[in-house]
Amino acid sequence: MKLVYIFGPRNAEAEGLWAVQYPGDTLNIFEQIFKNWMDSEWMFNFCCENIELLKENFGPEITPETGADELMDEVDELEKEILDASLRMDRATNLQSLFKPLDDMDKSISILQCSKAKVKAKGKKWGKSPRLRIYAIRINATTYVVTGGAIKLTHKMKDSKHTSDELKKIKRVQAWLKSDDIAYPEDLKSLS
Amino acid sequence: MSLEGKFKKIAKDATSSSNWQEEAAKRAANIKSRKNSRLVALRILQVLKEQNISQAELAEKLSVSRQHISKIVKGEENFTFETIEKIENALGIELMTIHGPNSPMNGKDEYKSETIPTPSVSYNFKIDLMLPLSLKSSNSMMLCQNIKGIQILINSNYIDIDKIGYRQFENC
Repeated sequence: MKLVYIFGPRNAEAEGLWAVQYPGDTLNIFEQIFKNWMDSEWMFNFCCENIELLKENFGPEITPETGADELMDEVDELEKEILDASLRMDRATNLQSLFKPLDDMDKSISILQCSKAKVKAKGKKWGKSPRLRIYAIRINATTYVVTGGAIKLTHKMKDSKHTSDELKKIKRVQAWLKSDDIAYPEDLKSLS
Repeated sequence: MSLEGKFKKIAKDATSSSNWQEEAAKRAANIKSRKNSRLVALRILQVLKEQNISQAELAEKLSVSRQHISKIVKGEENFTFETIEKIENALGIELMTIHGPNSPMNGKDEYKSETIPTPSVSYNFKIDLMLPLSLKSSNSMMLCQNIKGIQILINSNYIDIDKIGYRQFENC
């Protein structure tokens, strides 16, 4: 397992968004997620496999074709939001505005906290409930490590295989980071 | 060791930095053409599924490589009219129609616009320039229904662009 630097402020080697590249993969997970989500065939097949969940989310009239288009609109919007955040990073914007704690009820900040990024549903342009999630581990306000991403069609992550797999990946990366000794309170202070 | 130092230590094996930012900016600049390619791709995938036709069979019908079909269904193809026509003929579907003064649709009973305010010349010009093509897809209905407060006539999946403003359609 290794880390790939995705973007960050200039002249800051460690701050910014990082992504895990899992053993055997040719691409880091952040870019791989978007590559999959922007592939019409991949998304169509996902919608075919999860058509019942899609109907619960979008209504009984949804088809793999219309569902894929709906989700891919959200992919474009999510990528644009992350891109906008990345372009602002040089001006003291931090990634904490993009990533929120994985648990909606969790209001505290903790070491190697599980986090998620999604389209801001209350934004002017996106008036719908977002389904896409990018999962990351928070190192500090300006440093996050992406572990994966999923199309969340169930209320709880554990309720579907592809989202529960993401939980396992987060824990795996947390353990890997801890094994490299990045888990102490003083580490958080050093960049904040 | 500081956190930065520890991160550098972990990241030392990373082959290179990502060029995602540059690629994402390019994608954002081409969002409309990508959307159109995607709609065609999804329409083809849905029809292949419904008609139980494999991508290999479609490749054979079109006399193109399997790799070319893969590019099309992934939404990566920048379609030519010729390619669209070939696919339409092969699958017996219509993917695209052109709305204009000499459009075959004009005057047909199945496509009647209600009385609309006469747009200005420049307004029409914009529509003609920006919206020569409307994708015939069930997605059209979904997209347009998402826009609140805009009256849109949908007849056999055609969007009556005459009834909505340029800005509003752009938002679709």
